[in-house]
Amino acid sequence: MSTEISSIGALETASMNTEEVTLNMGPQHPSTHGALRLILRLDGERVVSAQPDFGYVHRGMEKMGETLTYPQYIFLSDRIDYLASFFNEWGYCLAAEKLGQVEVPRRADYLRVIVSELMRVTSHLIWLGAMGMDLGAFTPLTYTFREREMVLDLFEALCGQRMTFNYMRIGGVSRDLPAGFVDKAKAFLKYFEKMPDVYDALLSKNPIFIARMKNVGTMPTDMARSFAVTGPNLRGSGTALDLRQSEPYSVYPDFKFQVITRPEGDSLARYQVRVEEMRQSAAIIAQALDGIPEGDIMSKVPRVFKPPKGEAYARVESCRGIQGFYLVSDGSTKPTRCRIRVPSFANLAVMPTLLKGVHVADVVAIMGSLDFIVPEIDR
Amino acid sequence: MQTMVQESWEAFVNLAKGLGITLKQMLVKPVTVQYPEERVIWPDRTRGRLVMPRDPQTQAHRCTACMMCERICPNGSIEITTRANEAGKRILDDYIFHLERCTFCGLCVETCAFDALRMSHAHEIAVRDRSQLVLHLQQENQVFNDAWRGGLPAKKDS
Repeated sequence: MSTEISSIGALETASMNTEEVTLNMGPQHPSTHGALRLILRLDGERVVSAQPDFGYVHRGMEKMGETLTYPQYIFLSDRIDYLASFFNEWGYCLAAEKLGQVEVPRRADYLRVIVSELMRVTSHLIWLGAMGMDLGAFTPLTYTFREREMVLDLFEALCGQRMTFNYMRIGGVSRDLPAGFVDKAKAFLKYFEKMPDVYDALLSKNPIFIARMKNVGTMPTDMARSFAVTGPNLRGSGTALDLRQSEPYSVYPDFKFQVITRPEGDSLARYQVRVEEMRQSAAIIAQALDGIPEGDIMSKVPRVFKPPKGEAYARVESCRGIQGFYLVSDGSTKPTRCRIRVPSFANLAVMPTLLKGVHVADVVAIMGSLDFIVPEIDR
Repeated sequence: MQTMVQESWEAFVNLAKGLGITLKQMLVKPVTVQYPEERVIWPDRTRGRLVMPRDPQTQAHRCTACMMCERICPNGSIEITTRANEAGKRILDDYIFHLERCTFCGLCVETCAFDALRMSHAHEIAVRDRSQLVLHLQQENQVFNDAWRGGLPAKKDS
């Protein structure tokens, strides 16, 4: 495929007197999902090189981690990736719990799994709608946002906020389930069961959509691994790496679910992986709601959390890939180093290679299918 | 030729299917709430502006000026000044709440050992002047008491 493209490009340049044009895409472009600037060098309709320029939303999250105490930072970690807040909280709490050797009650772990998997569903819903919108299909966005609002209502009933939750604590979670939560969540799951089919009929079987996604931005599994791409993007390239199964944390060994992979590695494969993952997440939530044990939601943690000297690294499988937190403690109430490994950064790093030689119109499709969140890249 | 006709036919069928879905969804009852004419009912735990609940009889607040909320607040949006009362005991002088810095994380309410703080459901809190965002909670005109449910979530699980 790639030789074919380059030969066409050679033909074009041979017959015409062309010159390269530099095009700024962003930082205010609607399909960059935040403030990301892409410097594209174009030869006609083809991209010669692409260079992402990021940092417009840099907030100094890692530095702020050194100035805030452990419990204080949890509310801030919500804002690293605002569509995967629970995963950020969970990663940070896991690292802090490792540092302080805090046990988490089983019920709290179940609650964490339930909210995180719901979060994965909402994040994939937003991605699905935005992806369709980038390619000119506006309707799916309105449907996916409707479903997302239902989950946000559940979150609001549980922890009082819709996006920045501040729900998890070191050693558990802050609130137990409110009355009627399990029934409402089950009702949502029942409603949601057939929704992926609706999206499928709107997008996956739409010939225009397939034509714009198939064989576009093909990422072989070697390329994905060499750039440390994780999450659905890696699984769309045929590598079945999912921390929930390969390195199970929390209570994930309790649940039966499939790790979805597709061998093709193109934009359509990444799309299919995410739609299937929504179904798998729904299955995990259903199992967790049924099997939720009674008990405490917080273990005994001293009011002033002072972990002993040392370092800890914990990682979770976020909806975009592996989210890791590295904390170094000097024995005081604040960490001396708070390093955050974000999946979007690696997913963005593969972009210049993927974009070489594609059409300008495909840039949007590839960028959409990689599903990165710009505030997370900049942190 | 044969495959082209077949492909076009399949494309047509699938597009029609998509349109059928849209038509079906058009008949579903909309979930949109026509704010501000219509309002949603907030869940109990919704976190809005910080208030100090008062005792319905004595109108007294329960703050002991222990400064725990000031210490836990990640944004420094709470400032407490104290003074000594007649008996020489340290009591609350002014409870300054900087609404412009608040992120509604709720750590202050959680850390309060005397149940003196609550997150109300007040969410329409835009003002015209920045100075109006600096609030003195202990001298608020509106008295929030424990019985009033117009936006006061229970602190512990209800």
